[in-house]
Amino acid sequence: MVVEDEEPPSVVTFPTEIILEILLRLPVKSVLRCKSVCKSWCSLISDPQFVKSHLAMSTRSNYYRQHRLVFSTERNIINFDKSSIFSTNQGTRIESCNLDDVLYDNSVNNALELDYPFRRLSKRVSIVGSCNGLVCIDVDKDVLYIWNPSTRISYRLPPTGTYRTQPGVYVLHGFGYVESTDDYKVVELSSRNKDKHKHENFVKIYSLKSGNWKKMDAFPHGFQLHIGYGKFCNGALHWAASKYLGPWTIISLDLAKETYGEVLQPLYDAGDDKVLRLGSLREQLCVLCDYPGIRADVWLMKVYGVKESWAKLISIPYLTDPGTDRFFMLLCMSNDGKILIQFWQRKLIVYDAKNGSFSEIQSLYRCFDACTFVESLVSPMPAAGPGDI
Amino acid sequence: MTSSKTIVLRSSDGATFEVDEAVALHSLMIKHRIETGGADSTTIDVPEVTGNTLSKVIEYCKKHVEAPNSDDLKSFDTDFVKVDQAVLCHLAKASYYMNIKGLLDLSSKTIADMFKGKTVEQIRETFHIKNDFTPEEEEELRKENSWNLFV
Repeated sequence: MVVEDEEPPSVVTFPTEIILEILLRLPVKSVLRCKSVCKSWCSLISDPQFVKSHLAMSTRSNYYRQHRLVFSTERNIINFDKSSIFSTNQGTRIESCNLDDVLYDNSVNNALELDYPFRRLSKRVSIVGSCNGLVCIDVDKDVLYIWNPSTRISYRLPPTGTYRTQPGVYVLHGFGYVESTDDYKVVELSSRNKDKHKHENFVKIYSLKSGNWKKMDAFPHGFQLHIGYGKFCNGALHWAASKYLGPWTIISLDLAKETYGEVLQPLYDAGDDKVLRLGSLREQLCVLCDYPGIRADVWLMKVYGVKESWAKLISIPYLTDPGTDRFFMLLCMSNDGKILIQFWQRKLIVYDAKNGSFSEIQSLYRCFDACTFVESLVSPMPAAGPGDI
Repeated sequence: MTSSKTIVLRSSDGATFEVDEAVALHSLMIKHRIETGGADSTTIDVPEVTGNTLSKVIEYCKKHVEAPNSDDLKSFDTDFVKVDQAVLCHLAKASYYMNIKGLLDLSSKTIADMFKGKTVEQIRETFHIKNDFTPEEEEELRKENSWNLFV
């Protein structure tokens, strides 16, 4: 068997297809850097199809390697005045860290503070939700941004016209994606006290492609502020609503058709005062059915829209003596049973389903909002031209 | 009932390797050749791959076909790519041509990992790529990405 020498090892030419395979597996920061290597790489990376394939590759990974956790936490702005008495202004800071670190090392030690739009001038920021690597944030209850924390490009939405600082006005948002038109939409639910016992609600929807807000049919159910931001899953935003201590309904808002629906629920175990928290786990709608002080059951809707496909995944007991602590939101769950949960008292906990243990995330003072996002190159800009990212 | 059939693979430089058919079929390119080649296809030419690389590729396929559920598959893969940069690049190209998804994934990911932390200049050097930007264009890109340079 005669084997000739290979080409000199220092020179290996790559066909474009292989360059593509390599670039698709790079984290966003490295991909962006590769734009500067040469013109053909630059145009390859700028192609919208590349952005889509890169996103698909990152989302597909079995582990959360390209995923990060973004959360808002407290920031103390310390002011010294002449008499050296200092006062602190509570503001929010947004940090993000590797989801792997959170799940497996229980730490946010490597969290980086993010320079979100308007940071230096703002006080409070809420995180509405994330989709395809874009995060929607609400700054000072005044301005909404769609922001890609990985590419640091953000887009400021035009004002909705709702006077949010009026007393008696409650506003909730939701952020999601319409696959058929490759469009991102933001929904605003606002509720206003008509008189002591009546509320009226208004719904507006914004489409990144159209560039404007428009009115929609009112939310088909009374809602209260605690129901939180809409959870995006299967092309629709979802809210779990209840009238005072009444039964729960899961309302869906199809972002493509802009119509409401209801998602039928499983038969939960009996329990007074149970509270539903919605979430989405790997594209499936999930309900955290909370029995305060006792346990929370995690239900997953395996096939969207099919009531019989609800399955109880796991029951998570409360820590001994949780006090007033309550399960608040299920953020993510790894394949090997690590579950990241946010608690009402602003803590983050990892529950290990395999051995039933809890670990609190250290060095996190308080966590207001949190959500996971995948690192992507997706642009938050409306109607990007050819060659833009 | 078919007995275990063997296939001969011939590299670009004339080296021949006899492998079990099941192992050879791990390459979708070879699978296609066999399925469309009829009864004569007991020797398959792989002109895009040299003998050294082909021998490594076959080693990969053997392990993945014969023991796909073994506990040490992951460590096999990790060790498999602990090779020279040039060998790694040849493996990536071979896995692409021979349509072996697992190996393409593994080798591309390993090369991608090598990129992290490399500057633009270092990437160009590694892949012998000519910088065809004008100084103005480069400056423009550098500005755009200025927050990114040192990460």
